[in-house]
Amino acid sequence: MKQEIIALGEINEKLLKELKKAGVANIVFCVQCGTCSASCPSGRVTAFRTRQLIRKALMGLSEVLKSDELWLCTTCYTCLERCPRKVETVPAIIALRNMAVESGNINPRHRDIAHMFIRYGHAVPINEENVKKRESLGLPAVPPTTHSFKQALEELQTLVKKSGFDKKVDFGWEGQK
Amino acid sequence: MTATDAQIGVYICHCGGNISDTVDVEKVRQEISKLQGVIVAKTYEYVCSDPGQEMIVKGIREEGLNRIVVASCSPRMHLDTFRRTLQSAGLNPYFLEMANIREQCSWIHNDKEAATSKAIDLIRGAVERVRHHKPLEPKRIAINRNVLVIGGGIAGIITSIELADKGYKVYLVEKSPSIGGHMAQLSKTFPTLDCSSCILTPKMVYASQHSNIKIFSLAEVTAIEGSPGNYRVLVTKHPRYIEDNCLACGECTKYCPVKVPCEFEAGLSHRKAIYTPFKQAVPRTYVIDKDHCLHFTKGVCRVCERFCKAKAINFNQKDEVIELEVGAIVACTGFDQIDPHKFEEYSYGLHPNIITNLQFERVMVGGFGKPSDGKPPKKVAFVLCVGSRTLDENKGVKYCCKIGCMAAIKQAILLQKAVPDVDPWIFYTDIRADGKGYEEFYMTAQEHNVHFVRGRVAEITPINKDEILVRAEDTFFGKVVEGVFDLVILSTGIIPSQDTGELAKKLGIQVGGDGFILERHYKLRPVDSQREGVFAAGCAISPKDVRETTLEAMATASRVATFLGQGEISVSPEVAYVSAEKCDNCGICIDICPVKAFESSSEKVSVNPLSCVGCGICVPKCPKQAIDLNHCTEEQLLAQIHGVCEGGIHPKIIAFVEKNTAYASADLAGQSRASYPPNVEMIMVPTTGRIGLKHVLNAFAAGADGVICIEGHGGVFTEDALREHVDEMKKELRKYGIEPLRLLSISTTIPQYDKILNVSATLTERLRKLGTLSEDVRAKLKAETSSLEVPQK
Repeated sequence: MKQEIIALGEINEKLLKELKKAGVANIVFCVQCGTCSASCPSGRVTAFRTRQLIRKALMGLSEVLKSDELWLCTTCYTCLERCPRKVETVPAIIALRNMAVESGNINPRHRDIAHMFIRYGHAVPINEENVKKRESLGLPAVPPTTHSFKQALEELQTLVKKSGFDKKVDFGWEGQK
Repeated sequence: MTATDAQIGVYICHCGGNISDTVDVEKVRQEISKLQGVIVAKTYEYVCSDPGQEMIVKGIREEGLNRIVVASCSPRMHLDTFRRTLQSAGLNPYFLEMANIREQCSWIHNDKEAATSKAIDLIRGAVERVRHHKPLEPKRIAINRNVLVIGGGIAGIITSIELADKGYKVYLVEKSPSIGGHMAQLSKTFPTLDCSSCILTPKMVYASQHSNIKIFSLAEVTAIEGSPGNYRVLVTKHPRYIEDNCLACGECTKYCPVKVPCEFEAGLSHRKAIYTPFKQAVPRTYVIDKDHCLHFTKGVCRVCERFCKAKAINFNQKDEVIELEVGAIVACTGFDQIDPHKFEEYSYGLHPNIITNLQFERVMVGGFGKPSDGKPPKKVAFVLCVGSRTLDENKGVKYCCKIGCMAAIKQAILLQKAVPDVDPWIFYTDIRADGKGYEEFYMTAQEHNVHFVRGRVAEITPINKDEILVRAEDTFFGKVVEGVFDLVILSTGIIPSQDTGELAKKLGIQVGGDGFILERHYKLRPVDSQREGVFAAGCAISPKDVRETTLEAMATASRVATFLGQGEISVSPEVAYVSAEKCDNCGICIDICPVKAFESSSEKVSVNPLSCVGCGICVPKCPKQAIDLNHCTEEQLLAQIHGVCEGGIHPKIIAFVEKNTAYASADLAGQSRASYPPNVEMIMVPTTGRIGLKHVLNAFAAGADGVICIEGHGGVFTEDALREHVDEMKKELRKYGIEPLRLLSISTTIPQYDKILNVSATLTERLRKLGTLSEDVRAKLKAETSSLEVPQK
């Protein structure tokens, strides 16, 4: 079997710079002790290893932006709380995700959530069950959010367009009113 | 002799071209000879040479000179040389001033015109200053040959023995009832597996029986006065409530009804309210714990009295204050451990079998029984780096505890030997085995079936009485590993003992950001504190193991002997003094003095010239302007400021430079032929804390457009103090119409001279944009300052 060799001259300096810009410069203090990985509730049921992700980022390996595990963090912050070096693990992961999206790598489920947000103004829009529950409690069927205020939803969609968020998450406006 | 009688001789050195290639020395000579009181102004190829010095001697003897200015290399190079020259001609050596026109002028600038103009400024400053110089004499003071050692752990014991064997009288003060410290609690020591008690106890007994050592146990240092070589110390000896005729038979303990968690057993078992801390305690005399004894808490019981055969119990004992006179003090205050309760995820306190490594030492001595049931453990987890190597200030400390790895390896090996079927697992971040025989010891553990997991433990969860779940990542595999253990040992981090900071304040010494006692020089004076005559050894300075502590204690004893062995101490006359008629006894100086040199009687404050280090921080802080500093008096300093500011190139910047580190750094810039703009001119000060608003305003009034304070890193005037001081002055500047941006401060180490280059360039650039100080502002300043501040020529 052929071993992969990482050429140390070819690391993605931009990656580190971006992380530093995102305010997570302290990932350089990581000593790879593994407290994060072993604390990770997601890592117990998935292949997610926070420590390795941070290592890859520190080594400037672009592959980190394409990896599936980047999207397995639930941002529960347990690793950050326990990290002895106060590495900003979760903000680092969020910064990496932003970079991944910029380079066209977004997890399909995350993209779906983004589409929901653009379409309804909610990552989790209201459903039948919740409408019923609200009515049984004597509340209006829909909450006073974008669900009730069409103008607010339009404002949000205007912002989405202006900021280019729709393009980043491949949102198609066809069929939208 | 007054300033107006000054007959000044100025000797300008070519330094074989080093100066004269860049500075037009003849032009300088002509300009300087015009100054009032300058009788002689000469240039010479090498002023430091024998004929050069002869020229100065002749000037003093034959031309009636009574003040000398040498304009040459840095005073760091030849100040002593030329002081000796003056002395040989019968003139007080303090009538000398040097102008540094080599390291801080000819070597730093290429522009001959600018360098010449700057040289004139610097020499003018020296001339104006020297006319105000006063004759001074260093003092010689006899040193007391006794030593106070604070702390009776292994560091204090070895230091005391070494000094006592050399013939010095030692007072050893220990706050607990027995000497011995943490080492007495240990089972065996790595890597040789010597029984800790077996090697320590004989030293304890030797110390207690030594005719040159007097031990005060259950005692603490309450006050320290005096100065290096002559400290007066008050020691409060707390009552044991048991007389020295105690036979240590232990009958009293049997009948005492009160149970207290035992300190020596690290809280794993109980002792009585009347007790001896441990079997080999020195002194052997028992002690009554006043906080728990029923007689003291409820006024009942006294059952011990009935059973004491020696009739040694005395409930009427009181605190005793003992006054000691010593020449030197050694702080051997040792360490504490980080409280593992801080780590919620480690469940310390929730299960009896989750213990610290110190508690496990006692478990080992007690026969390896688990705290829960006394039975030997089957599977043991050692959790390293609990609270060490962390950037989380709320939970732990940045530094490595230095002993955790080797202690865990030792404990695992001993455990293997005692309980052969046990399964020890060490969870580590890095194994640090950097002492003699340590790596080999690590190998021994590997040979003994001790398992190593390279991963810091993430969580410890008690499951039931005999099961504790430990989870970590094996970072080599990249897999999470879990194990169920019946005993978990936390290697908790090392911190300075609780009272270190308090004691340091009493001693007038500094602690570092980590709370440990700060050494005078990290490499070259590693056991001297920042104060002369005060030393330290052992974990009071930093975490270390027994061998290193012993080494350090021996080094400290040697340093103390060197200090005391001088017999007498030479005290610099460059110290602060208080004008009694101006002082209103407000006490501000007492609070700010970093070395506790001020002494206060009922009415007046005075300076102990033996303690004062001449930093001058107190001078600008005195609201009554009652303090001045010998050889950097207000008069001398202001005269120099005005002298230097008179001419030169705008935007003119005056840099006040701390005399040791920062000045050496500026010199190094010259030696390295680096460069900063020639409009920056330096004035040496003892520390930049000597500079107050008055001096800054005077600089601006006399022609400066900007001021920089350059402090040396690690001195008595700390970075924080400098920042606060300069911020205060900046606020004040606004009131005079001066932009605060014109004042800057930095702190530097000797090799970091680029900081000086950068700050000089930055401020020059800034002032070019800002423009020179407006003439209106300067005129107003002149009017305000000249009335009282500018010294008469």
